Amino acid sequence: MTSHQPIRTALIGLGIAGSGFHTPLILSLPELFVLCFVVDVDTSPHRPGSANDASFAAKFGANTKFTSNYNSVLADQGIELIVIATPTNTHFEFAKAALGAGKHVLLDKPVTTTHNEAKILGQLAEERGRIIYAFQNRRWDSDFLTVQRLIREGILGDITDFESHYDRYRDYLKGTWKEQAVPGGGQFYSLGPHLIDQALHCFGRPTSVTGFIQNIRGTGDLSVDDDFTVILHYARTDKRPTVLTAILRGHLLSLRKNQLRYSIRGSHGTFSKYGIDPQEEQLKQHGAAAFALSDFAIESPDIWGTLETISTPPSSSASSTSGDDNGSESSAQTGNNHSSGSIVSIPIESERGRYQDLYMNLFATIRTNATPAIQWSEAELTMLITELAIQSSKEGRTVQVPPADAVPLLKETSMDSSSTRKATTSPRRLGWSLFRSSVHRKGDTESTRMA
Amino acid sequence: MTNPIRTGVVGAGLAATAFHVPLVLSLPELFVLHSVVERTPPADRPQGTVASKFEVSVNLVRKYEDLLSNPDIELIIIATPNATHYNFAKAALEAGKHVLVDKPVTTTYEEAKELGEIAQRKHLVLYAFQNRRWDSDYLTLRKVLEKGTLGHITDFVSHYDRYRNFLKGSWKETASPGTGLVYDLGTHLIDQALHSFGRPSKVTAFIQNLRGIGDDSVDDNFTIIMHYPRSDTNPYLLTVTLRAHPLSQRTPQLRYTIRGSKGTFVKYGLDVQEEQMKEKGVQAFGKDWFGKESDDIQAELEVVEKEGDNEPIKSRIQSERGAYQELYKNLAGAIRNNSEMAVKWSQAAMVMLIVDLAVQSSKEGRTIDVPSVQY
Repeated sequence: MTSHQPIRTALIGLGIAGSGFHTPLILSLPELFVLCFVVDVDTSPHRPGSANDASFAAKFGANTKFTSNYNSVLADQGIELIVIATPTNTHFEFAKAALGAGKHVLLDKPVTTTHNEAKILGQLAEERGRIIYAFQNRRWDSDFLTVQRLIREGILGDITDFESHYDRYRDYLKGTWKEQAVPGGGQFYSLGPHLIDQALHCFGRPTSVTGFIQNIRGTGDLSVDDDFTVILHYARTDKRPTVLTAILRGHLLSLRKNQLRYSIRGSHGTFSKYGIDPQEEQLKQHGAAAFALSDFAIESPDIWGTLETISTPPSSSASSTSGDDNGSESSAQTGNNHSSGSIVSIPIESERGRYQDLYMNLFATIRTNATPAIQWSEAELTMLITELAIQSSKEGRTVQVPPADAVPLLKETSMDSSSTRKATTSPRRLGWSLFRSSVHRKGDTESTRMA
Repeated sequence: MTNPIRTGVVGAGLAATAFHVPLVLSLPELFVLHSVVERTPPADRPQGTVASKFEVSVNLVRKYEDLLSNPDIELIIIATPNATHYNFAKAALEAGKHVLVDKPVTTTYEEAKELGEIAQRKHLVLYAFQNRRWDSDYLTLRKVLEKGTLGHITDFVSHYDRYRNFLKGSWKETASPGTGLVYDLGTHLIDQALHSFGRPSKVTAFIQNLRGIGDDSVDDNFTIIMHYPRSDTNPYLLTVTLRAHPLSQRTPQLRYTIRGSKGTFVKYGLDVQEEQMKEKGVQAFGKDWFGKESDDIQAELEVVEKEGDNEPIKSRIQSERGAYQELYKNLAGAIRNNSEMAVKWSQAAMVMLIVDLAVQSSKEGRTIDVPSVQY
């Protein structure tokens, strides 16, 4: 890798994502990236990172230039990569322009507001022979890396129930664009794509989706959600002998010191985890210097997860611990009905988080044609599931997920360019039949799903 | 001067022997166990399962009609398989008897409604055995809710999880009306939620056979969501989620996670009375350990003093004592003194309405509006 030149990069969008994540990450890898420009088209005086203050060089590097002229950056032949960290409803246009100008693109999440937009970008990137990469950084959260390891190593067996939460307590409005009724606004677009991407990465394409996306606090614009529950239903398959339900939850009035993060049940055990990956907070506090911290991305033991598992394999006989209790509720509940073994509880040391790995993989993808850890098709699927969850919530019903080859690319319409939230690829409108498991599962190639 | 209620029990299976018979026998000033209907007593116990197990003398009746026609019997306790509850209860009411019926009280709302109307017309007590209103955990939770400690409730999650990777081979696992986990355990969870929050505006349910063993149409896993709109008493939307998972390797199992605008309540474990009664029968009652759960499974509270504070303070709550006898005392009071029933039949009927809607929601894959019903 060191024989390759660093990638000349421009970053557009200097809000929380741009200043809090991308800037320190880029600056922390000087052999891989050079931050040539930061672009901010938002002229609000409250925005961080405006070029006029003296701290600019300290924040963005002595050689980084500021501009509010995106087009000039796109026209600059020397720039190879555009990192887009602007509000969601501008992602599509900025990414399209960047690809059109022959640049590689790293696009913050959610990558677009519609599935079709994501597909258009994917096709454009392919036509141009350029990389488009979704910034799903939370694949490298400590907790998710830990969960992945447990699943991959078969420690939990066949997963039957996967609960994944981003809960917090906020009873006031922050006054940001995310609370406005704009495409991409609301808590679901903000937090949902992380949870959806992680679940899809673990389990692949679901059979159907149920969403409850609502404004529970009754504050601000009531059409802007502040609370969501999205359920991904997975039918039994040859590879998966039990049904699987993934419940993705974002509750905004949750008063807990350590919020529940995961509750995962499998045939061999249960994994429970509380708390949140430390990298975001560390980056907020220390910027690029965070990476040098000895405890960077290391979770404290008080938020390590717990594995509970039967210490010896359960017997498959019908013997129960209490005599002739036929269909009893209590042995149903106190038990853990198995004739041998008892449940042990084991703390699981958290994997170390590694946001830099995303940028390192991006470098390798651009310079050496390495396989991207995040396939663009996974980002497309995330947007499809996002749309279906919204549709489900609106229509009050569970929505079937069409098979991978069943959703065609729609040519851009005026609706797409205005980035509405409407599900323009509604399976019903396209008249698709229910997903049939006998159809060749193109979904298997879509994600790097663990066995 | 006591006038114990002369009681007949129908059924000699788990519900009768683990719950009803010990409870009746434990309150001799209020009840006398007069007869037991057991169609086919075991060959080695011709006096009947109950008489032999509890070493009491009790009339063994082979045919239900004989119980109904006995003028001495005042109260009939129905502890038979779910699909028979409606018929047995109806016959008992028509014979002029008071009735205590185990849950689920029927297999449909319409049946429950009909029974309620008969009881009303004939001025009889018709009581649903929703004993888990007197579980330690629920009593503890009720106290917290009544105090308003958690503020306005926004998220109420209630679980009955267990680990069982085999079939027990009971009637509950064969496909017939009223079998499956929703009828068996769901009715408890639904009743508690209705008791605390009233009638929801919508229901969404996912009811399935998760383990893939036994009859595929008999569910062993459910998620039932009850949606509540904003109201005069709660400015926030409330979502109640009731879950039962049959392959959950945890000990103790999670029971409640409840979130409100001022705090969170989390509880693990399960009420001890059932185990204690199964082990010690009538001897369990009156002991200082009866209904007392271990401190290990005390509920955990995280609360703020006032809404808007962001740093909750953790504490643990002493569990209330479980008290199944209170149901029976309340039943006796209703029969003898016309006291107000703690478990109203309209509540039991509402449970069956929610069950009906949950089954429909799961079948049709959509959220169902809860109709406002007269009863």
